[in-house]
Amino acid sequence: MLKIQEIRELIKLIDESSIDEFTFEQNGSKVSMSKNNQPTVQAVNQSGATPVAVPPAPEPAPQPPAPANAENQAADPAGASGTAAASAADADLVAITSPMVGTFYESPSPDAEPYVKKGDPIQKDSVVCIVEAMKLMNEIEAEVNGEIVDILVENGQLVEYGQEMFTVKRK
Amino acid sequence: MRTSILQLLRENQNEFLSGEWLSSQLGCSRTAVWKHIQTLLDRGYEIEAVRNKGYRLKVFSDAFTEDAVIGQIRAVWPDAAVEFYSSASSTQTLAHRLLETMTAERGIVIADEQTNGKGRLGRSFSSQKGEGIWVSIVMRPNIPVHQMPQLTLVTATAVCKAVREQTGIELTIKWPNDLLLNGKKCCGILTEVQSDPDQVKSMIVGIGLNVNNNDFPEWLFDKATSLSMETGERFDRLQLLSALIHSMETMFSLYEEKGFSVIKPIWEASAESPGANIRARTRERVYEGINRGIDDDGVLLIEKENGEIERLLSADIEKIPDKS
Repeated sequence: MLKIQEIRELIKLIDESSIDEFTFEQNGSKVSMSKNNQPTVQAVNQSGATPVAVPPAPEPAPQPPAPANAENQAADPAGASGTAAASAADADLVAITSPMVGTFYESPSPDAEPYVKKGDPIQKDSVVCIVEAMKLMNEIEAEVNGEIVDILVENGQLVEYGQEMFTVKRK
Repeated sequence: MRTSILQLLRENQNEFLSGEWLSSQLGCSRTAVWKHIQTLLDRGYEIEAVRNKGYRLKVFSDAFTEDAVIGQIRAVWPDAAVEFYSSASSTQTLAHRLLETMTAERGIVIADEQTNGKGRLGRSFSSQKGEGIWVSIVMRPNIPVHQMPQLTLVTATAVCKAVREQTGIELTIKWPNDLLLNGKKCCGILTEVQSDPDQVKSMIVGIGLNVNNNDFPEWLFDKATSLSMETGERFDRLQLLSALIHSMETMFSLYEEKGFSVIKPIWEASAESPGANIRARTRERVYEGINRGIDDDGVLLIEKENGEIERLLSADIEKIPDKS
């Protein structure tokens, strides 16, 4: 797996270049970068070790960029463009993304029911999951009225900043 | 110095200690002793001063009543929304309910007893009547979202500071926010945050501080302790509560203003076993290595056998006992 310093150098090089998208694969690790208004960076280690996250820029864009999740990337090497295409196809579908790097929990405690299941109606202030980092339990609210169409991450999985966790059909 | 005086008074609770004796014990002037006694009096310690006899700490009293508690809180946070319960299921659950209607910047739910205290991930938290501080504090910290996880470390430093100032006891912090005394857990912190994608809306910090507990359920016995069990003294919960709220205000103001770089050295000064062998359990795997403290974000660093440093964001850590 690439070292943080190597990823940093890569980011710097790509940032200074005219390249818009960049993918690098080695020993089951994959790094994809693409430039939007704000560059979005995500590293995915397909062998299952801890992914490396590059901390978000101190001033995130007003509309946080939504990088593709691991599944999308595996299926679509173009990465972020896959999400864009999907959103264009159905404007009512929106994603709930993680505001921070951390562990995704579907329920308030291991033996409790998940906050939401596929098909559940949700309100703006419905708690849909917890993202935990350094013992801080962040209760993620939906921020949108609608219905849960898909859950894109698994209980206990590490999620990246901006990673899509749910697909919601807006109502 | 002040804590040393308090310590001496406590150790000789029923005796008068002369100013002269105190000054010789502490290597300072009698005037200095007198000044420190005045400060302790200001802080609410009941110290008797009798001419030709000296100073004596009066018998311990812990009047943890609704009026007294609310009075202490309002002295620091005049506008806070405050709820006191002589018995409550869980202050954390009640604080969630308080937050729904709360317009104030600060809120506090405090109970003399919790019948169903809430730990992280639904674990229960032991909290017997009259023996500890069971409190949930609601704040609205003004910080960028990506800094949120640091809130747990800030709270840990605030509790350490309050306990040190009131009792002279040095708690140690096990990353990120378990507070230990002689290696056993003395205080648990549960931090829950409500956030938008781009801002922190509110934070509910549950703090369970074991103060005067003398006993724990058997399954907790080798893991948990209280200030009292380790020192043989009883402490005034009201004064501790007051110090805690002061300290939360101080540390969070400092953090909002200056960022984590000023909190980091304070956290590190209380950190448990830097350089020791630790085991860190994440959901996927277990790491063993040397505790290398925290990085500039507060993330745990562990040095593995191959010399590589791993950054851990979510893990439960424990010290590996020495092999001797």
